[in-house]
Amino acid sequence: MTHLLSFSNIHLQYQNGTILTEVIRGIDFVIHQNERLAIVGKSGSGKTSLLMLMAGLEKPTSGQIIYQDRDITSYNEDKLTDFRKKNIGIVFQSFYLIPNYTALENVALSLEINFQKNALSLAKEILIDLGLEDRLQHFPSQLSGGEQQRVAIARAIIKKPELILADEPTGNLDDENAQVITDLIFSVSKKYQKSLCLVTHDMDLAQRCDRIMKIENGTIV
Amino acid sequence: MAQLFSQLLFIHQQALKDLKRSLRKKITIFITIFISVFILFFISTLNQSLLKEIKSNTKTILGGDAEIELNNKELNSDITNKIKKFADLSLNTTIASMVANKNLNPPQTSFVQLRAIDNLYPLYGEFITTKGKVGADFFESADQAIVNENLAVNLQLKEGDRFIIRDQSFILHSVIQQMPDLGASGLFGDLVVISQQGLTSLKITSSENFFEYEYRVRYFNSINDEQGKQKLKKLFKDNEDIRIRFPENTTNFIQRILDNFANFLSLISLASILIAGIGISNMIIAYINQNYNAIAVQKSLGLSSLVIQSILGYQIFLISFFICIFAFGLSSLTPEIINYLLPKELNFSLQNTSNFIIFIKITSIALIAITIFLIPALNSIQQLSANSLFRNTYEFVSFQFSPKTIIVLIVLIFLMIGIFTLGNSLWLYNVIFLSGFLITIGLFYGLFKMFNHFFKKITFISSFNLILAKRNITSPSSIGPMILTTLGIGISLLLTILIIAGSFQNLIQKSVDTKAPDFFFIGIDQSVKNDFQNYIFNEYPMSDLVLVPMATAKIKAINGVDPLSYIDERNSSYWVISSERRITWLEQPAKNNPINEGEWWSNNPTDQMYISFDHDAAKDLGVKINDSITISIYGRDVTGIVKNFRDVDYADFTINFVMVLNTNYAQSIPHEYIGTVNLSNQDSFQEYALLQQFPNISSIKISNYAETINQLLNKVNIAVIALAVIIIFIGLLVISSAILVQGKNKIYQNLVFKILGLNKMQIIKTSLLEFFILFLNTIFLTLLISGAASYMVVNFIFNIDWFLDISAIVIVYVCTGAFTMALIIIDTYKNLSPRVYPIIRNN
Repeated sequence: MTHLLSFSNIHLQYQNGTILTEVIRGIDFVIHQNERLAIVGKSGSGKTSLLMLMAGLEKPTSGQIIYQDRDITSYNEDKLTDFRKKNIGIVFQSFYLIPNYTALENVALSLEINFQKNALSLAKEILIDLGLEDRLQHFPSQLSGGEQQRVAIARAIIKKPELILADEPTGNLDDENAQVITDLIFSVSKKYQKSLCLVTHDMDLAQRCDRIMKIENGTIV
Repeated sequence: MAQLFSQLLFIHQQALKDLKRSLRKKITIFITIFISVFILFFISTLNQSLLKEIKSNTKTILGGDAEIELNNKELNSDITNKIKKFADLSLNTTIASMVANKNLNPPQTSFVQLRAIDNLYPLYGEFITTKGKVGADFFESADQAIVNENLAVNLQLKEGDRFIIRDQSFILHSVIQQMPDLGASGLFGDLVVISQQGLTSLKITSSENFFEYEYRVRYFNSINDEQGKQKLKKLFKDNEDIRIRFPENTTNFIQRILDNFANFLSLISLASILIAGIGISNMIIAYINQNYNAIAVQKSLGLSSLVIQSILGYQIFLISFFICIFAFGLSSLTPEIINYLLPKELNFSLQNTSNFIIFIKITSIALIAITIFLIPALNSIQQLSANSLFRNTYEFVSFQFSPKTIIVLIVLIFLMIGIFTLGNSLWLYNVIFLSGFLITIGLFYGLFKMFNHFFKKITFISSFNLILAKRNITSPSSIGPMILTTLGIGISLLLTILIIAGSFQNLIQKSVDTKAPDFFFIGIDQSVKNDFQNYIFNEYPMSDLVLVPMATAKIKAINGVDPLSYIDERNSSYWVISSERRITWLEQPAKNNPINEGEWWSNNPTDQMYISFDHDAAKDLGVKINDSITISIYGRDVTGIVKNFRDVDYADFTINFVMVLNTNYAQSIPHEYIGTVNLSNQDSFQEYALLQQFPNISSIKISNYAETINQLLNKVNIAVIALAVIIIFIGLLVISSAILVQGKNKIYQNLVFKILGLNKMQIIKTSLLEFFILFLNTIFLTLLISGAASYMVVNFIFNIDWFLDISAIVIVYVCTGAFTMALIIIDTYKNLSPRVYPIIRNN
C-alpha cells in the first residue's frame, strides 16, 4: 500500500498566556491510499488536534508531515490552504455550514473555490444523489440534523479529495441518521477509493474501518 | 402589584448585568447618540443665549433708545430743541468714500463707509480703540481718523501715519477695537470714523447720494421708554418721510435670522439623532443574532419575549437618558466657550440660558427618535424560538413590522415632529424636512431591497470573488442596508448643501466673469460728469463706459393706497416700499433688463411720468400694468403710470433699478450719476489717479466685492457643512459599529472558508468587491437624491441656475469611500485567519 500521509515525531503545543499545553507528544504514523483509519480516544486525548494537523489547519511545533512525498510542515499558510483546498475534505460534528448560504451554495462553494465551472450543477447532482433534491434552496436552519450532515458530506466529497477527515460526524445525530451518515461516508470512500480518517468515540463505528489507532494523552497507545 | 414590582426589579438587574458585559460593543452607538443630542442641546442653548444677549443689548445694537432716519435731510433746529428737552440727541453722518495711502508704491485705495460722529457717541456701549476710550482730542480735531483693523492692514497704516480721504490728508488716530454698531458698515466692509469737524473740512454736501444723517436719542433718566416713544411719535406724526426705529424693530430682524438659522441647524442635528437611531436598531438586531442561543435558552427557561425585549430596551433607554443629562450639562458650558472665541469688537457676553424646558423638550425628542428605531428591532425577538436549541440551527432575525407596530411608529413620528415644531413659526418647513428625511431613509432601504432582488437574479457571474460578494450582499445579515442608509443620508445631505452653495458661488463667479463690469463708480456729480467721461475715454480708450442718472425716491402709494398699510414685512419685496430707493431714467430699456410684460414708452411725454417696474417685485406687491404709483422725490409727490415690467437680476453686479422713469419727464429731477466700466485690462486701472482727479467719486472693483460676498457665503456655509460632515461622521461610526458587531459572524464564515481552502487574498478581494458594489449603489442613489433636492431648492426657492461642482462631489465620495473601505479592511484583516482549534474545541 502506498503512503498517502505520514507523521514523523510530531509534537503540538498550545500557549495560553503563560500556560503551555502539550497536546501531541511525539506521534508517528502513516495513512495509506484508499485506507479507512479510525482514531479513538477519550475527550482531550488529542484526536481532533491530530485531524487539524492532517488538514493543514494547524502546524506542528516540531516533527514532519509528508503528504505524497511533499513535506507540508514547511508550507506557509497560503500553501497549506492551497493544499487543503485540493486534497482534503472535512466533515465536522457540528456540520459548520454557512448559515446564509443555501444547501446548494454550501456544496458548490467547494468547487467554486477550485474555480470549477458548472459548480452549481455538479452540486445539484450530488445533493440529488444524497436524497436532498427537495432541499436544494433551503438554508441550514431549515434542514434537519441528518440533512445538514449530508450537505456537509456532499461539500467535503464533491471535489473528490484524496483524504476525507471526519470528526465525530454522527455525534449530533440520532441513531437512525447516524447509521445513514456512516454508511454514506464509507460508501463514498470506497466508491471513489479515497482514504478516510475518522475520529470517533463509537467503537462499533471504529470497527468498520481498516485500522484503529488509539490516542491517549497525545500519544498513540 | 408585588409581582409586577419583582418583574421590574428583575428587568432592571438583568439589564444592568447585560450592560456591564456588553458595554464595549455598544459604546460606539452611545457615542453617536451623545454627539447628536449634544449638538441639538448646543444649538438650542446658543440660540437662546444669543437671543437673550441681543434682547438685553437692543439699545446698543440700535445705538440709542430710538433712531431717527431722515436720509440726507437734516433735522431743523426747532425739532432738535424739542427733543433735547427730554433726551440726548447724537448725530452720525455717513457717506460712501474713497481713501488712499499714497505713500505706498503703487498707492493703495479702498472704498469705505465714512462716518462722522459727535462727542455724544456712543449713547450705549463703548467705543474703544488701540488708544483706549476716544477722548476730546479726537472730537475737536479736523484731521484725525480712526479706521477698522482690516483697512489698517490693507493700507499698511500705523498710528500717526498720514492717508488721504477724498482729497484731504488725515492722520491715523487709532484702530477700532470695540464699537457698538461695527456691523452697520455692512456691505461697505471697511470703516473710517472722523469727527464732525473733519466732515466739515471735506466739504461734502448732503446732496451727494449715499449721504445720510443718523440721529439717535437717549431719554433722560426721568423719562421711561414708553414715554419717550410717545413723545417722539407725537413730534413726527405729521412727517411721513421720517422713520423712527426703536430697539425692538432692529432686533426683530436679527432674531428672525437667528431663529431661522438655528432651526435649520436643529433639523440637521435631529437628522443625526435619527441616523444614530438606525445604528441602535442595527446593533439590537446584531446583538440578538449574536446571542441567538442565549436568548433561546432564556426562552426555554420561561422568560417571555416581552421581558427579554424590556431588558434590552431598558438598557438603551437608561444610557440614552444619562447621555441626555450629560449632554445638557455640557451644553450649558458652551456660552462661556463661545464668549472666548467671539471677536471682542462685537462686545458680546453670552449668558447660560439652559433651562428645564429645553432639557425636557430635547430629551423627549431624542428618546422618542430612539424608540422609533428600537421597536422593530426588539420585535424581532418574537421570531426567535427555543426549539432552535433542539435543532442545533441558527437563523438570522430581521426587523419585524406588524400592523400594530406601524400604527405605534406613526404615532411616535407625529409626536416627535410635534414636540420639535412646538412654538416654531417654521413648523411647516420642519414637517416637510423631517417627513422628507424619514421617507428618504425608507427610500434607501427600499431601493437596496430592490437592488438585492435584481442582483440575486444575476446568474451569469463567472468570477468567484464576485459570486461570494454577491452572496454576502444579498444575505439577510448583510451590512448593505446599513451602509446605504446611514452613509447615504449623510452624503445626500452634504452633497445637497454643497451643490446649493456651489450654485450661489457659480452665480457670483459667472456674473463677475461674463456680465459684471470691472468697476462701479458712484458719487459722479452732474457738474463733473462730462469731465469724468472724457477722463475715462482719454486714459482708457478701449473701455466701455456706461453712465446713468440717479435720484432718490420713496413709494408713497400704489393706486392711491399706502402699500405699508397692506404689505406685510415678510413679503419678499417689502424692501422696495420700506424706505427710499434709487431711481433712474432711460431712453431705451437697458440690455441687462429686458422687458417681459407691457411696452416701452414710444411717446415719452414731458408732463406725464411713466414707470418701468421690476417684474418680480411687481408680482410680490400686486402691481399691474397701468396701475398708478405715487413716489416722493425730494419732498415732492408725483404720480406715474406703470407701463411695463423688466426682468431684473440684482446678482449680476451691473446697474439695476426697481423703477425706471421716462427721460422727458425725469430729466429735470436733481440727480447725480453712477457708472460702470469694462476695461481691456482691469489691472491697468489707476484708482488713486482717479481719486486725485475726482476726489468725490468712489470706485469699487467688482472682483473684490464679489470676493467679499463669497467669503461671507463661505462663513455661512461652513457652519452648515460642518454639521453635514458631523452627520457623515455619525454615519461612519454607525457603520463601524455594524462592522464590529458582525465580527463574530465573519469569524465563523472565514473559519469555514479557511477549512475549505479559501486563501487570505481571496477573502480580502471578496470584501473589497462587496464594498465597491455597495458604494457604487450609494453613489448612484445619493447623486440622484441630492441632485433632485438641490435642483428643487435652487430653482424653485432661490430662482438661480443649478450648478454641479464635480470636484467637490468627487472629494466627498473619495473621502467617505476611503474611510469606509479602511474600516472594512481593518475588520476583515483582523478576522482573516481565525485559529481553528480554539473555535472548534469550544464549539
